[in-house]
Amino acid sequence: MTATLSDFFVYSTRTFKALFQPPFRSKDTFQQLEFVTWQSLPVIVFCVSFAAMVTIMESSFHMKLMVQNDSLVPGFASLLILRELGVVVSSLLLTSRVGAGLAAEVGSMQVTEQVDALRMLGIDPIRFLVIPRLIACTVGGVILSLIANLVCLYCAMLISELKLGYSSGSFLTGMRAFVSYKDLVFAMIKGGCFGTVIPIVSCFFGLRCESGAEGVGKATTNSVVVASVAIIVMDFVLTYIFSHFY
Amino acid sequence: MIDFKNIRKSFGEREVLKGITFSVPEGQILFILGTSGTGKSVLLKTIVGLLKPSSGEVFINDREISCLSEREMFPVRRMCGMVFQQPALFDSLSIFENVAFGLRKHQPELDHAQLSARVKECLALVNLSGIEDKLPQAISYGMQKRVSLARTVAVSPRILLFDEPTTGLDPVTTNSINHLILELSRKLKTTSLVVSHDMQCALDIADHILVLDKGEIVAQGPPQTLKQSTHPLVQDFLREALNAETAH
Ligand SMILES: Nc1ncnc2c1ncn2[C@@H]1O[C@H](COP(=O)(O)OP(=O)(O)OP(=O)(O)O)[C@@H](O)[C@H]1O
Ligand SMILES: [Mg+2]
Repeated sequence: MTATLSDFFVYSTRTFKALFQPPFRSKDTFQQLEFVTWQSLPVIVFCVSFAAMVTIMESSFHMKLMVQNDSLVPGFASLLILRELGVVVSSLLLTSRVGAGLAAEVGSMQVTEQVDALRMLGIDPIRFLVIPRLIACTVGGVILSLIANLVCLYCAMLISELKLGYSSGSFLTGMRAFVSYKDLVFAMIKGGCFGTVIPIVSCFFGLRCESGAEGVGKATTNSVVVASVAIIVMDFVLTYIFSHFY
Repeated sequence: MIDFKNIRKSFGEREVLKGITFSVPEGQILFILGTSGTGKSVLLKTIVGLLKPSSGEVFINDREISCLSEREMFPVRRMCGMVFQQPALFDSLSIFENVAFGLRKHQPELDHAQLSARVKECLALVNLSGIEDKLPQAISYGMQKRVSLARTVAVSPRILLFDEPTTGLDPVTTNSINHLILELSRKLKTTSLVVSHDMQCALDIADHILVLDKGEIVAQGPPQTLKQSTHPLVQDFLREALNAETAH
């Protein structure tokens, strides 16, 4: 465990150093960005829409039960969406889609000796494999958290108009009382941070993958579990830090 | 010139190499024989620093390399070429790009025509042509293995390491690859280390043979000396080679 942690520390340090060393593999980075952002968009939009709708319906139901009035729902729900729901749900989806894929891809390159072949040619696997994915996921995390939040808010507005009877005007007024642009900016920062964690963790487990299909399976599972836990913990830490700025 | 001095390598509790010492003069062919799982691949990877030995020293041309960093290893690896046990082709690149990959990195001065000529030449060496545009997944295992050989030879390394280059290939191709190894060594003075199970072929082309068992050298010497060895494992290998010969 301690050995793994110190390996991870050494690896992360090397990765961040490599981030600033040319050559920058822009073609590969853009390809990865397309894979991370564009191809994840449908599933993320689909899932966060449902999460938003459930949030509105549930909070309205309980507000009505407790205080016989759900007029604060648009504001509260928007707050919850912008601060937590949009970015966390989309990042966890990104972990299972992109993180698992990366760990399996890099892991199978490791067990089929492709990583060794790169090293034999004097190519640093971190710079060649990890950096393009790291940049793509970080940028993708920011973009996806923005889109996810906007979609979430739109769905929330739609459902409160259809089910709760608030016009979009009154939803927006209620929302503005609770949230500000800062919330969106913080959400995007969170998205970027979570996006950084996913490829770092996945490639770490991929690069130390043991031989055989079982090894690749283990690397994939570990990377998804560790990245998800890391995202939840980081979310707490970042939320705590951001709370000083409101 | 490769010098291996009392190399030990452990993975966790398990010691895979238990004090290996040997040397290979320039231009010679060394065959490493041994049963599965004795640490042949680990030995080969230790030579080029893909694995670090737990103790002991590795000298390449009188330079100790086991303590070098990844960056310092680059010029050393540039002299060496390794054919891995698996084809290890980059599966997102075409066959052409796979073979050209090392050339682009090591000889950036080549223009497209020169590059393409060199790639074709190397593929022809392993009896492959007309498959440049295919992806690795689209060709058979034996063909992938040969492409990986072409990729390694393309950058004209001074030291060649082959990890079971002919396992899984047909007898005709096996012959031509063994011939290629011999030719590279004799004409270009390339030093070659070949991991193999094929005693017959070792007796035919090796200058020196080394038999490994459970991480230890149980016999070594030129083919003539090795034929006299009484070690049971060497005897087994020799009997196998004799059987193969009489079967022909
Ligand atoms: N990276 C590694 N981590 C842990 N153990 C390893 C690693 N690489 C090799 N081993 C172990 O070292 C031993 C020797 O492996 P090696 O691949 O060198 O065998 P080999 O002689 O090449 O066998 P084969 O003929 O089957 O290729 C094996 O038991 C293997 O489990
Ligand atoms: Mg092997």
